[in-house]
Amino acid sequence: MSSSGGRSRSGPTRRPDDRAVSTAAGYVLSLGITAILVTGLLTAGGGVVEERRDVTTHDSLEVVGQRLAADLMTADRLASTSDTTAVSVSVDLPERTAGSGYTVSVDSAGSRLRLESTASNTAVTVAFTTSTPVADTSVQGGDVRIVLDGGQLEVRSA
Amino acid sequence: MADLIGTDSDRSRGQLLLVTGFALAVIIVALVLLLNTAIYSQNLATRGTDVGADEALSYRNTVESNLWPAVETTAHNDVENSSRSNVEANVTERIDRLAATASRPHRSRGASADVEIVGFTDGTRLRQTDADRSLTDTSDTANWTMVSATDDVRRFELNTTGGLETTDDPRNESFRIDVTGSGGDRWSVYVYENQSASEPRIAVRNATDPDPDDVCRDATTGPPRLNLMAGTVNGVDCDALSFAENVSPPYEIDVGYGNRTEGTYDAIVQGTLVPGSNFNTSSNSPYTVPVVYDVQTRITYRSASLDYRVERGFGPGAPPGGKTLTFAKAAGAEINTSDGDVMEFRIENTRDERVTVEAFEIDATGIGGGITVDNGGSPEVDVRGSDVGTGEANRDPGIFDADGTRYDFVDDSTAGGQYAVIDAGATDVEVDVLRLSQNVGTLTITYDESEADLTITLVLSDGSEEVFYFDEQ
Repeated sequence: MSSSGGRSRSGPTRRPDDRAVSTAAGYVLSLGITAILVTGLLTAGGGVVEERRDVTTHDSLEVVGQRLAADLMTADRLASTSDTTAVSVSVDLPERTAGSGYTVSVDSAGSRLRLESTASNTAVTVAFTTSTPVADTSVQGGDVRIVLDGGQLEVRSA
Repeated sequence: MADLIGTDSDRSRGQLLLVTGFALAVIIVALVLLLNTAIYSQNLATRGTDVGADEALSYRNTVESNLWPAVETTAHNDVENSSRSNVEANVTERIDRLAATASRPHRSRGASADVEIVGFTDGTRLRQTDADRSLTDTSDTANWTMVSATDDVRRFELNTTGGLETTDDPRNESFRIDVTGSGGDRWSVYVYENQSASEPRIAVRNATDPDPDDVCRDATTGPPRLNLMAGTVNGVDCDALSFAENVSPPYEIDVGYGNRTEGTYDAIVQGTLVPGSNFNTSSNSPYTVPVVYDVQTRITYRSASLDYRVERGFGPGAPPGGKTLTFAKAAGAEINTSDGDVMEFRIENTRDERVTVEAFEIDATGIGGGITVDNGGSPEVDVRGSDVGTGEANRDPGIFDADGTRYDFVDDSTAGGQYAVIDAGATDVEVDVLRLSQNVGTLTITYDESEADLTITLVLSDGSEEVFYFDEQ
């Protein structure tokens, strides 16, 4: 087909060349969306890990505390028998929970054990009941011994 | 036009996905590790927390229940050994044997259990066994000191046999025993023949009332037999006869007018402050023999996770619940059996007074089920000795189940009502179980209930039970 009508002959008008632009835009868009999704995924994943770590630390400390409280009460049962001169109970506890250490503090006034993780703000309180006085002590997590010393029970590092 | 094909120099594309992949892998690994920790915690939570406290207390209980009964006759020197060191050596040997027997089940579980003797409390036994001799000292002195000072008296049995002073006022020259306390207060018991009533009487002078009063006249017949520590007259309770009432130790014990009666006595006092010149050291009355008054021990129980120690003394008063009837032989001794179907063992009465056995139980279910005892027309169970009443059981029901069923001697005896009466201090009281339906092999004495394959329970008239354990070898 030829152009013989009113079209100027000063030369043809150049149209912008936008060929293949949609491909580049699509690429940028997909890259951006992917980056956003990945960022979201990693952020969410990190949050899940953090939350799981707190929950696991809490549960582990609770189990450890309950075991220690049970052994403390066992030592009390032995110490409260008449004419007892020595009681020493060894308690095997993990050194770390969920990858971090912890401390055990005995609160004799409140008859409670407080276990606190050194890496997170997680802390657990476990109650115990004894008829023998218990010394206020604080030890690092790991194997401990409960000994009768001077008429009171004391939690010491093994 | 964008380069959709790429060139060899452009190989860095896809880094975002790669980094993301790594990050996700790290997250997954972290989650797995946390899951592992959670599983470990749950595992830890389900583990038992028992460190062996029950076993330690069980061992202690076994020792406490059996130590004094096992050593009492030795400690009280019934064989009248003249050497204190020999008495202590014999007591030590018995305790060692008891400790070894009691610790056996714990050793098999990897624990170490032991009883160590820390010390002995010395005591002295004072005796006169010649019933025809007056109650004077070796020089026939009528008024003499029996014990200069003692903090405790465990046994004081006095059996007057005759020659009582006849008077209406016991403060005259009647026989008496005076107990003077630290403050000078005095408690006395008088034994005399009441002139008006022509009958023997016992009078007690209280520390707060210097006039002696007759006591327990119903029980006072013949020249009476007194147990000053148990408070009995001729075996009958006499509450007014309360040794050294209102008098504080240390006591001085004196005999007054010992020439006014004859008789025997057997006393055990704490300490050794006895005037040696008033007694012989041989068996010529009156005489003394050394005794172990009580034993201080250290009980130790050790396992991988527990160390438990107790230091305590043992005497007849501690702990409460000490047995009345005990084996005459130590733990580990074989008992007599005939063809494995007859049992024969001997017991002693460690109480101050006679006891009556009213019923029995035999439990051999630890050896085999359905074991019975049947001796035909003859007694199946005998409790008999030279100076004791005989308890027998036979006929109805004819066959006794050895499964812990209780049978009364009175209901089942051939004589229509027989108890076994066992006097205090009686030795060689024999218990026979005849014709078990199954061979029970060789049996040894044990004090550990957990070891027992066969038990025999004798039920006393006061409702208490004396259980004897046997271990099948």
